[in-house]
Amino acid sequence: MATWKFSDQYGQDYPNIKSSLLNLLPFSKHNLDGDNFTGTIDLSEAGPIFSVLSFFLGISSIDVSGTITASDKLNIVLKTVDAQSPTNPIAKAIADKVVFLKKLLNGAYLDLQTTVTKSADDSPQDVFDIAVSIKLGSVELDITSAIPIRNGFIFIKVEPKIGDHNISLKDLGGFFGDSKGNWTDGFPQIFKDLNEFQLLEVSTSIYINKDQKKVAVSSATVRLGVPDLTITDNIWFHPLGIWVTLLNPGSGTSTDFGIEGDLMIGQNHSQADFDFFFSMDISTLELYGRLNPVDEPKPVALLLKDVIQTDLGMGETLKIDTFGFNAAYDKTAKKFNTYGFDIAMSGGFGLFKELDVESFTLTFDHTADTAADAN
Amino acid sequence: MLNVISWNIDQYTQKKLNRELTLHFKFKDNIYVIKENVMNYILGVLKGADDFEPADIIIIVELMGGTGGIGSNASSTATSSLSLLATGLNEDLGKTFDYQVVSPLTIGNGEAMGVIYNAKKLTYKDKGVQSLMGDTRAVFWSTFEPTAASGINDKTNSLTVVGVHAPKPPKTLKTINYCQALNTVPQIKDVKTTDKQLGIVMGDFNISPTSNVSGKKPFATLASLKYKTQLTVKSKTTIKDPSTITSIDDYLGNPVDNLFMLAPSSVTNKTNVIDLIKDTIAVDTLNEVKLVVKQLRGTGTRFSAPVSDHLPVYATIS
Repeated sequence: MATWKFSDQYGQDYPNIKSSLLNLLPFSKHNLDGDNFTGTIDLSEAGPIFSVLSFFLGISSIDVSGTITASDKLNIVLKTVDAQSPTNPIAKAIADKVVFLKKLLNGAYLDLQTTVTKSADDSPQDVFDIAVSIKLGSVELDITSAIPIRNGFIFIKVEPKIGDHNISLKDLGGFFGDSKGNWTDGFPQIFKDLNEFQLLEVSTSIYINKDQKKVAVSSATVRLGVPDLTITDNIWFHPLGIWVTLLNPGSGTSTDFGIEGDLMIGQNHSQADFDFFFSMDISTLELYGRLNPVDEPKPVALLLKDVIQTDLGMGETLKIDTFGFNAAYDKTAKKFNTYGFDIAMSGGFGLFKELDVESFTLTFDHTADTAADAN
Repeated sequence: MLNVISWNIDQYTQKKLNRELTLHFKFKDNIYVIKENVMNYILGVLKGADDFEPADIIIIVELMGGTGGIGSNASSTATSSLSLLATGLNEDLGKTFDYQVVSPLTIGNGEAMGVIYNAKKLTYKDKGVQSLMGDTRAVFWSTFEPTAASGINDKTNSLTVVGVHAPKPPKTLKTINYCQALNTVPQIKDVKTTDKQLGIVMGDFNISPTSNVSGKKPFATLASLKYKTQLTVKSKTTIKDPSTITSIDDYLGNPVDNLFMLAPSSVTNKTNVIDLIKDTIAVDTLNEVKLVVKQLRGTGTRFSAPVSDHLPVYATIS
């Protein structure tokens, strides 16, 4: 069957269209009416790059529509026809392969975009995603992944901006199915006491092996969080997150969950000086965080100013290389009231310049008068 | 034959594995840009290539630690992300491999270490951590018994793997002291080749094998126990900041990752560094090298590497 590619029509004016993944997709038919494009991708002729997608979906052709604008830049934006229908061929294929998504599925589609200039020096900017529209409680959203091109995991996921979606623990009922009504039994009371969370992430990991003709859904994860949860004026979680993972959903499902998120330190909640990724032990409610790397290391003096409003005479030259933070939640007092720091530093050692000090630990209780020890 | 690999994957967490990585690849003379998650990239390395087989023992350095101090269970993200890696390996290689996880333990500094091993060639026996340097750092050890499928069970009946992550310079003397203290670890010093025992010490030592500060050499004590390495000062294992790369062959930094082995005389091994840059397609020019380095390591002196700023160390034991 004769096929058409974008380079056939646009290759002369936009030479690098040949390096767009979109140009690797042959069309068995197409029509351009002004800026509006419709066509049928012939997946069976798309070659090895798309063989994993072809196997995963189990379909040989995909109808797409969209727009093409050609000026200084060529912009192509295409989407599967009837993207938001649970009965379109891609949605049906995914519901068949990823059974636990079936009840949540609103639609599924390919999101294909490219922008390319007339310059031979510019690489095309491609978007080549597969997306699934789901409804989770009252929240509707699209979860996406790059289209897989070789055997391996695909993580279909979305990470909404904090504030975009409110969600309750109850809303996750559909995610777990009917058999997991008591899934929060093991949760700390501090979370059960919270009525509303922000949705931080929905994802599922699927392993595709076209050579062994196997599709395995290995896990599904939802992360909920509480934004800007203050510990002290200068230390806060943003967010304090709960992640819940279903292992092998649909077959012998088991649940795993934990608490992780980001812990911020600074004078101003709109602009933290330090940002940690932390993980919390859900049984002991102890957490450990590591400073997320930054381009320019911050001085230890800034940390001390932020946390204990104390100057130990270290000066600005002593910089933080790595910085660990630990804390424990007091179930009786219902607050985090013990902290510890492990800091590796470089630069002028100020107060400690006569000592062979590479790291020291600061411990203090924010509810009492501040005290600091170095060792 | 047993293949072992150790790889410092900068801050290995579930969150990192899910991230998308931008990669360049060459297909029919054109270079295309694709996105792939970090997990698949790591799996691609561990599953082997034309010139090396899938690993039977895998140590990942820089798992997220637990909250209970040295020896406590690792964070849930460390355990689940290591399990996911084993799942991915089994999905592809399950017919001939059976990957199992030795649950990670905290080794200090907010870090944990565990092992993935191939249960078809090894029977797991025990694990633990051993503190060094006044309980501020520990090594992770695990012991195995080679099965008949390993092909070396007639030469050795016990395999001890010790994973290390030494303190980072600039205090080089502290790093040297850590490396020299490795000879105090019972699982290292008590290996007896006369009893057909085999010991491996591998990981990120954060120091060059030829380093010498005031006469102190980092690996003098391991050498005195007869542990040997095949990697030299030329076996560089870190990746440079792309802004400092000046030529197409100038992308590697320091020889800090290593593998030391003490084995019965009938056991042989071949140790190499897997060059993720050179082995990546589309690196014919300086700009392409910088592009690939940027994709794997990131830029700047302080960074969160998309994959890692280290190359894996790989050994074949037969």
